Amino acid sequence: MKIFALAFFLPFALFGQQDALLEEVKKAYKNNGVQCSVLVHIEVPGLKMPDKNIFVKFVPNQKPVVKGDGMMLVPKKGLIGQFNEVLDAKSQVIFLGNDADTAIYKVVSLDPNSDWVTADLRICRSNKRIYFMDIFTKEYGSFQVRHRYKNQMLPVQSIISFEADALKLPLKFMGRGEAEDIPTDANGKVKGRVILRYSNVVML
Amino acid sequence: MRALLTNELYKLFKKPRTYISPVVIVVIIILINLGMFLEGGQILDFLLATLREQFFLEGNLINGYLITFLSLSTLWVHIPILVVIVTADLMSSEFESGAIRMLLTRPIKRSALMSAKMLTALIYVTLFMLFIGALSYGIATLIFGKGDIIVLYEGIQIITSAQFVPRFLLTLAYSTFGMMAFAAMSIYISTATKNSLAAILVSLGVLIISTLLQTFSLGIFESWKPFLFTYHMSQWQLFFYTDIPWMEILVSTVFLAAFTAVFVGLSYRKFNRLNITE
Repeated sequence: MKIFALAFFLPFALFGQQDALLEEVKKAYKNNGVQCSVLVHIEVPGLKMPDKNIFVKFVPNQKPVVKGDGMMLVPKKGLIGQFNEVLDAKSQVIFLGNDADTAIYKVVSLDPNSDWVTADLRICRSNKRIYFMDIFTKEYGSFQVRHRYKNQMLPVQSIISFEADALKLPLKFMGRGEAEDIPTDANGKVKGRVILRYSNVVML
Repeated sequence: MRALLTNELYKLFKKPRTYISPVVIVVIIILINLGMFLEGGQILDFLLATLREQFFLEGNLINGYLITFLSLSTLWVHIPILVVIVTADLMSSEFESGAIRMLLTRPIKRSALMSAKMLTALIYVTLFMLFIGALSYGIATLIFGKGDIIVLYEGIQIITSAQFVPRFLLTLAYSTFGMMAFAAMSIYISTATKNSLAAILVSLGVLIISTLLQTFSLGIFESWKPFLFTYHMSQWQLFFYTDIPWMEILVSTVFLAAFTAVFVGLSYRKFNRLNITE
């Protein structure tokens, strides 16, 4: 009888526990915006760009403010201020399991206006931090984001990986007039990586 | 020598044809700036469409530095044509007018006269390149301001605004050197043909053939590239690589120096042995 009762109530108890963890994470990341300086390092085949120091400000439901010298490229997903975009969205959360001290969730967006469809999150149980996000978007493919932390709740570094179409280079425009081959995979895609190092992080 | 040079420069700047090329350059640069003002945004949108899928792009993308670079990219084929109009006429006009006979009856060495012609060509080419540089930079930065530039070499390379000016000045210096090589060849042809029209046409013919061979990317032509002077003249573009390949630039500089030396030598030899009574 006890075994039956345990078998019946255990899943609910575990689910409640996972739900509570996610609620704690949501609270921890709750803010009215974030502003910080970011050192942007871009590794995309076919694109050579010097590292850039920029200032960014994220306020929920507003376009990010990006300031800096010259041309700036900021990845569309995986930035420091975009945790709430996933955590606070109208969504269905599915607990996928545990991996040591890490809880794995799949968040499915229920908001028809959101540009992301699903997000896989890996959250450390002990410090309630999100270490990995795999975000699938409607238009821009998927972005895998690894966060590194020091003492704060917000990361000091994010490594964003993504797949993109190979850069299309028109012949005879602003160049030597020679088509250069950019190595792609079988689907004509290239793998890109952006490393963001944050400093002077302020929660608004 | 100084008197000879002064005389040559006086003759050069008295001729209306000396001013044809600068006027053409003014028109071309105004058209490039106008084109970029009207359609530059669309061109960049097309160019950066793939990047926009993954990134927010911020900053002054269409700026004076980009348009200055674009002007140079557009003009590097045309500048030699505009240079040759003047340099190919330097010697042959003396033969055509018969002034060479009068000149050589005076107590001056033929080599001194040739040196004055060569120096005149060097001064003209340098002034012409400075004019192109100042005009393209001045107009574009005045209208569009400054900023980073996008260069399509081996993909997309971004050159920061801080890197632009020194690279632009190096480009101007290298291009002047390249144009001087072409001018030296045209002066030799001018001395050999003794006819301005023939000298201009032959020089342009050589330029067109060399440029065409350079453009063909087929097997056999590919291996010819390092022997084409137009290939080495176009190496100024290497200054706009993120990591400048100095060794390649040095090789091209040595090639152009040797090319110039050969044609300067040939011009002296031809002129010194010329029978002006013919």
